[in-house]
Amino acid sequence: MRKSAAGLPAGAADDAAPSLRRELATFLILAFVVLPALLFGAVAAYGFVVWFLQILYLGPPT
Amino acid sequence: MKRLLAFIRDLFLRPSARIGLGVLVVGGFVAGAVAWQGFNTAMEATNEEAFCLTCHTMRDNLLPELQKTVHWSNRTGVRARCPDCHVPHEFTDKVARKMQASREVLGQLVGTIGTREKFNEHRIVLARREWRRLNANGSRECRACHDYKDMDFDRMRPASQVAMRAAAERDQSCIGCHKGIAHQLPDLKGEHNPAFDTLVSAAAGQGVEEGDEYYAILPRPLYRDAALTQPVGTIEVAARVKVLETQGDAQRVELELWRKNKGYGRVWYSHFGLNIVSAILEKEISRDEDLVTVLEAREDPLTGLEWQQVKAEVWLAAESLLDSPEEIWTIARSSYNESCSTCHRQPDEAHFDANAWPGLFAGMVGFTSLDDDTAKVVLKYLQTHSADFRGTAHGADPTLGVVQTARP
Repeated sequence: MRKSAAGLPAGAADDAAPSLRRELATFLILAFVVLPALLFGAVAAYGFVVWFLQILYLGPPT
Repeated sequence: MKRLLAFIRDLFLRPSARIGLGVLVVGGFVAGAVAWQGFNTAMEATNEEAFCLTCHTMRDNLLPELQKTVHWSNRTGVRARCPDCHVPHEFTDKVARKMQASREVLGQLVGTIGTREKFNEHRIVLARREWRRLNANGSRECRACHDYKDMDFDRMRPASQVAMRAAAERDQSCIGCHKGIAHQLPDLKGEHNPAFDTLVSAAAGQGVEEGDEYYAILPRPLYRDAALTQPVGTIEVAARVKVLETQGDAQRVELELWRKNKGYGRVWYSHFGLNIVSAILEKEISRDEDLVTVLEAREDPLTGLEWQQVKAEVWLAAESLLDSPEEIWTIARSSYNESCSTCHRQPDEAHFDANAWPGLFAGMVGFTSLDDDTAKVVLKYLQTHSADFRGTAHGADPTLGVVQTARP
């Protein structure tokens, strides 16, 4: 595998080149834990915003 | 924080060093599909009746009530589950409603409605919230199953036809008439109308001059003494009194009213010959000449009864009076318009006279959700704005007063 990535200072890529295991773990956690949690959080936040708007300005949905 | 930002920047800008692009894309695709499906599954699971019933408030209070109604079991085998009626069906409103449920979860955890008694106490608050929602959306959830456009009016009972055709014509919200259709109605008798709070605070700020006339904001007990210890009766809402003196928290007022010279003569009316109740005295007191002075007597030609104009000086708690009844009438007017127009066009106030209103009102008030105090205020409002006070027998426009009959 090449060690330096295009567009980044060679040094930064060199000293932080991760192991396969570590990169895989990052990928799996991101794809199956962090992003679904963000999805849930975004929908919940949307729901709360709509609810608060209903309390403050909109009134119950028509 | 800085490290987190650097981590995120690296994450997006630096290509992966060990994992192939294909693995990333396939993995991302699978993760996306799983997340999407999981989200929908969760939305559906929280829309199951079983989910609602995991909370004991629902299982102990609302389920047994629903089970007694046609929405639970009927000859067609179609039935309504909790979310069919109580969760909006469209995405945005549904998500907002689900977040709103955090309040209900908190209530369950804190135990606000942990027992049947507590639940019944709060029931009116919860019911109001749900009625308001259904009023605003025109009972959309009901109409997911029962829509006017799909109704065959000819197959309804004749009495239902009349009401339903009229409702369909006006596209009326179902909840307007069909409250309490799937759960018990709240106990409205002891309920307190929040509109009266503004009257109470207005009365607290009312400056009172001795010798001027004022109006009682709500029914209040009357006493013989300034210490307010010997009750003599009750003053009714919007009754007119003359303030004689103020002593601390008590006020001495003069009542000058009319009564029928019959029996105990304990019900006192505001005008000669009109049954507009202004005060009700204890029966031991009402003939007590130390307290009650008869000013004059007149016979009502219609009933042959003798009416007496009577005067009494009594005490009542301070801050119960306002210098004009208009604020009271504003509350009464909006209650009248709101409650009576749900089922029919409300008659003009002046379509009936003051003595006809009580009978009509008593016959109709049971169909409304008015509490006792509000009902009294509304009746008083109707009587004091009736034909007797407007000069014409049928108000300005006679057609305004006709109770609207639905066209078949």
